[in-house]
Amino acid sequence: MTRGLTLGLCALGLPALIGCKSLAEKREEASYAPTESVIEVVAVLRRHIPDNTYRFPPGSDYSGRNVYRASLLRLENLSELHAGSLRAGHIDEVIQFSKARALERLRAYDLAAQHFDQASQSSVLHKDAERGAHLNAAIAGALQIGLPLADPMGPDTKLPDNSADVVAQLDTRIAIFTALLRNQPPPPYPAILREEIERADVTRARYFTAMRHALQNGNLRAVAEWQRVIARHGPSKLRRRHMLEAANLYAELAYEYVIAMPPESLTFDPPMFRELVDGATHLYEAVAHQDGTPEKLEASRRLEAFLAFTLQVDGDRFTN
Amino acid sequence: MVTASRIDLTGLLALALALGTGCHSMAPTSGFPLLGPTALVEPIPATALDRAVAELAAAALAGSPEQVDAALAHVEELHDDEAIRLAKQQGRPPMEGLVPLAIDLRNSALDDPAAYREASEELLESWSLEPDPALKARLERAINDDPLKLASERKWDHWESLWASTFNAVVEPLGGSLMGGFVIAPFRLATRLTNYAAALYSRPSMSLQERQALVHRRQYLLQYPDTPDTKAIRQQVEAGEKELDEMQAEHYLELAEASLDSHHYRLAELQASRALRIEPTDADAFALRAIARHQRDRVSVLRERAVQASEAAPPDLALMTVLEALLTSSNLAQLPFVDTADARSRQRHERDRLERLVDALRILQQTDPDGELSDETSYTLALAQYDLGFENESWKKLRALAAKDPLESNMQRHAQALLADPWQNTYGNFMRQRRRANDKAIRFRLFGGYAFGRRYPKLPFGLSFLIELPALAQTLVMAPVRLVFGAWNPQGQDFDRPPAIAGYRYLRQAPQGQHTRQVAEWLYDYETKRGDWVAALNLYDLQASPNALQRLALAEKAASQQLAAADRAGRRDWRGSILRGVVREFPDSDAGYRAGWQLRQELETLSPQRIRITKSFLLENPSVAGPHGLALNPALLDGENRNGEIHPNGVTFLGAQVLEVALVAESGNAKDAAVRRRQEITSQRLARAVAMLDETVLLNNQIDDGDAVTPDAFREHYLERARLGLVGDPDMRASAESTYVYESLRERYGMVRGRDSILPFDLVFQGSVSDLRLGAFPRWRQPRETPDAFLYR
Repeated sequence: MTRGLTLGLCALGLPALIGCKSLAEKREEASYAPTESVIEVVAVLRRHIPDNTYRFPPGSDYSGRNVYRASLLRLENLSELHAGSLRAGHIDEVIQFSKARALERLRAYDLAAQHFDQASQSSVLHKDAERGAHLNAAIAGALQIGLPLADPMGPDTKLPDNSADVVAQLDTRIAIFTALLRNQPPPPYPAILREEIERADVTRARYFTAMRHALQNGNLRAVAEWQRVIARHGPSKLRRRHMLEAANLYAELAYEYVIAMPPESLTFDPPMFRELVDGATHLYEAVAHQDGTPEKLEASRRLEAFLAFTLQVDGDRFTN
Repeated sequence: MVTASRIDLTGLLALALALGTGCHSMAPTSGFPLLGPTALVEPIPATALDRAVAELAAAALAGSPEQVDAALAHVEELHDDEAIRLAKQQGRPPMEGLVPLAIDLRNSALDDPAAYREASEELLESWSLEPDPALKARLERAINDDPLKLASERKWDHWESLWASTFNAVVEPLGGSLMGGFVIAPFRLATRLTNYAAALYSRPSMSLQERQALVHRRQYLLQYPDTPDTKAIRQQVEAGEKELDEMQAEHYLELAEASLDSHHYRLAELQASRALRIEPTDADAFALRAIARHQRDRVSVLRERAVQASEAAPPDLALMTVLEALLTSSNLAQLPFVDTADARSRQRHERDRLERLVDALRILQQTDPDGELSDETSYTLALAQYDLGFENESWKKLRALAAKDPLESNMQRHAQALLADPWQNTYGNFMRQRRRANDKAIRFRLFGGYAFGRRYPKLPFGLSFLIELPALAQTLVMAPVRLVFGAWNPQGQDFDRPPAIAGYRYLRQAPQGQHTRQVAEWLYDYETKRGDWVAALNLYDLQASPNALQRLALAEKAASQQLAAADRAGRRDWRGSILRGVVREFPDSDAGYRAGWQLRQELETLSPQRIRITKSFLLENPSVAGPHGLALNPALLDGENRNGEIHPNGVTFLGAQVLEVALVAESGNAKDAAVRRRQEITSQRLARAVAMLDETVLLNNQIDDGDAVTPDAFREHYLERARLGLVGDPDMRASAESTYVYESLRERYGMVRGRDSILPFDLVFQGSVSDLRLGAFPRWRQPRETPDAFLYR
């Protein structure tokens, strides 16, 4: 309202009364010297360092971009534009440390470790930089163990056949993260470690979902794995996404069941079909009732489509 | 004297001609450099203040609060008026806005969002310091990003929305009757207030803004589970969630009732079950589900009875033979049309079989016209006739059967099912849809928007009808005027779409049917009326007497239509594919030629990127074109044509390290097509230009909401790689291309940018031809919805 009033008075030609400034004047005033620009970026980033990104979505800057990514890009811009002023090196460690903080939130742990190493020359930053370098190197090392979530369009998408090995390796990875977590590291590491544990659990569930036709009792195992993810990561910001994944799996199983056992055939088992439908419906409904989230839209549309599918099954073979 | 005036006139005429044709000085397009030297990167020694600021930043990142405070005090000590004066004297940046920035950095280390917001408010309100516009905007955003504050704002929006509806309900009818309508003002007021009350009753029990407020409060509880406010907020959240559940359950109940009314019993049962899952003890939902189940069971019983085997004697042997023949015969209209000896022989064979079948059935019918199985015979005869291609006779027979008493005829329900099935009786469905479309069109022209249902379906039918009656009567009276001036179809609705779909279905099913030509003619009219020339061309050959010239004109229109579609295609590969299609399908048309030409031009000027910066943007943001950015030749932006000038189109990043500069043509007229010159630039220049561009648009965005750049992932992808010097190998994928244009504020908004009025209402002047009335009144604006409102519907 105040802003509107100011704009209105400016428009009425009363700029002198309230001190309206033209855009060019504002731009001139907000043109920072190199050091000022750096502390502006550091201030924005610093606010979001302790953020619990496991529970809540990462913050965004005024342009709507992920704040860690935006800070990293701005630091790159400043290094390019003020190379002369920054060559004195008085603020190098601050820049390296800030980049490391941004990089570790973007999952570039090895790069973050390198930047922390470079920042450890500063007496003030030394302790945190060393700890950061150590933790990031440990996380990067742990991520080398076991199955990664590979690019689905990449050349190497072949999954290993031995599920026991996959589980054992991912358990090892999670054990490393849990051990690091037990040492009670300062923020943001608890959130980062929990995110990585969650990612390992999701990798495992996705593996079993992809391999469900190749493994004994594969479908049951895949459903159980998603239920495990939902149970273990209730406080996560991705919990609705996990529920959607599980619901999609139930729905897919229901489609497959109807194709394999047509409802009009003698082999169709109504209670089995109902279990699949109930599983999908309840999960979709739970997500669809979560106002203000994009998953709500996805769940409600999928639910409507799925219910339309169930209505195609004859009434004497399935009742809602 | 006469001569002199003639000379004067000639001179004036020449001057006028020169002005009229636009007198421009010539502009060279070559022989000068496009780029100037970039700024030198000279090392600048750090001052004591620079070091103090670096210490403060380090302390904020990793130090204790005491260290941060000490570092801030050191900065403040060094940064006094004398230091600013000295810096100005020595030509160093004075950093006049440093202290507020340093305080903000200290605040950012508080590790508590609420404490940061409080400290930011203090900083903004401080009389001794004035944050610069960018910092001010950033702090204001941070302060406003408070879940409880946002919840209060949404709640306020909710009340304002109610107030706006109430205010408008009273003021509009009174103000609208200022001249000429004062006598009917009480009537208009009463009508409006009744409608207002009905609308208020029909509103969902929880508005969108209240739902948003609920989510913000829930968010607050998640973020701050242990504050003095927590208990009160939790109570508000619980109450809100209960209300939301009730509203959603009620919504499903309404859907269930509607499904029940339209005899969709399974759907009704499903919706009632959904309501019960939200509100497990809802008695209405229980009752509705029970009714739906009962109705479904009743229908099931009827169906089961319908398919029970008859206990009558087995059918006559002759009929059995006929049925066997029918089961093994084919529909002649659906046999693939292949002109081979085998196919002709098969066609003949099938025709013979069907004709024998029809003869046998006719004999059966004549032998015992009122026999027990006469219906079956008649039904079978109808099917055989249909397969032979006698559609009209077949449907006529089925209609006669369907008209019989279902208790006396075995085949009545089968005939009726066939007639009603849109996939079996495609022509019948087409005619049915046409009748429905005509009905709808007539109703719309008579009753306007009231033709499609009640405005207040939540109210009992009689009451809602009474409320809407005055407006309904007025609409009916005004129908002739609307017929002349009004829309023929309601916005976004095409009554003839369903018959068109049914018609196409018929054409697919019976390409040589009895009604093919009639349906094709109707469809041709329909497609030409809505300007779909491609579809019209496809139908043209099915018309009674096609004309070669008319067909040629139609082909030209169809080709132009596809060419326009190519212009709308967002990606160059899609555009290329459409253009190739136009060239291939319409090689003899003008549009086909144009498509070929465009395709060739696109291939000749193909580039991985097309990120353009207009001249106006460069002038508005001189740092981008300056020596610290692109370092363009300054002469190109000095407004003088004689040394070369950039065209309004500006400069374009073409991908890799290539820059295209559009220059004003030699005519000197900026409206003429630009002369394009390409130049490869160094990776350093590109990186610096991109960094400057990015910083400039970010700053503009920060200090002016209206100057935000639209997100474009492909632009960002290129710019990021350019900044790191990784664009040597161009990404030629069409999906990686960005055609983003950086425009100045002048280009986006014109000379004067429209601002939101500071008044909360608009002034409306209203006149009505129907009752010769003039009025003026303030209309309170509804609060604007937030961008995430769609996530709450």
